[in-house]
Amino acid sequence: MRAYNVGCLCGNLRYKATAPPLRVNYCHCRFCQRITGSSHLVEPVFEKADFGRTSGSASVYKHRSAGSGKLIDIHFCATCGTKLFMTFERFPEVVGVFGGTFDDAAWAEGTQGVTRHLFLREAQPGTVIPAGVPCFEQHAITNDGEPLDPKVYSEPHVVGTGPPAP
Amino acid sequence: MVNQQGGCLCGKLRYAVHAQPVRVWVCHCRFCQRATGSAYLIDPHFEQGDFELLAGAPTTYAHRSAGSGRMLNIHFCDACGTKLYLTFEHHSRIGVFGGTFDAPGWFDASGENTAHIFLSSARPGIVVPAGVECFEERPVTPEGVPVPPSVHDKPYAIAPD
Repeated sequence: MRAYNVGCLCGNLRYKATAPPLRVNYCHCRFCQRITGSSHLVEPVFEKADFGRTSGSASVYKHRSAGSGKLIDIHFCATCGTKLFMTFERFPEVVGVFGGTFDDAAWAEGTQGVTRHLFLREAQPGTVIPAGVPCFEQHAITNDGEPLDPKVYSEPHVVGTGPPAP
Repeated sequence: MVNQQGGCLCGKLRYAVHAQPVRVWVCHCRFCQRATGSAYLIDPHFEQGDFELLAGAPTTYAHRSAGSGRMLNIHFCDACGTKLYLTFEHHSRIGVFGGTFDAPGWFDASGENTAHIFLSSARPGIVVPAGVECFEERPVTPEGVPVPPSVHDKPYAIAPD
């Protein structure tokens, strides 16, 4: 069976998934910008039952989502600060992994059909969204679980506005 | 004078910068992918004197670059794991994790002052903006010779492996 190994920079913390991701979120919200230090998080989502620890012991930071009011647990390495995955009060059956931490970048092969971009309304100016993927201004569902309609761009789309200055 | 602040998720660490970035690097190397958990790091560089730590004491992780063999230090929050900035053995500038600014759009990350580097390891699904300098790896050779950039006149999508 294909294994999806992830690890931190210093090597203390190792986890793996044993089945392909259910979906892949490219999330441009301000929370994901801050936790990555980048413009967005690449987040493959796995069944919790398919994801487990290989070695090490993660530190956990509990964050209350500004959007849903629910808790998010961020699991990271205390030695090098690398975040490996998140678990969710709102979505207890799944694990959201930090996509950059896979040993083999080929984890993403075959995931084009389950990829979506979230929170475009908060995306940094100049971010370019690829053509042909479902895009949502916020989450893909409402807080009550109702699905929202995606928009799909036929050409790469340059985001022109970001969050308002504080 | 510029006064742009940023900080970690839990608020324990806060910083400010007081000038525009000297240069904005968007780095697609495997180190930056792992360090961010994302596809690349947006890494504006500031002169040391233009960066100010306002609150908290970061934890530091020292990492030897696989490419250059030189040390770099990652400064992060021990409470929430947020990485805030990098310091380097071979120069004195501060590389800030761009997404940690309170207003990340305050500096221009898609203009002439920006370079995308290590595109040889860029991820499929990522689109490089038009008009920025692009390099397959570093912008200079190990001997210090500048590498000529390529610049795309339209957004450039990274193809699947």
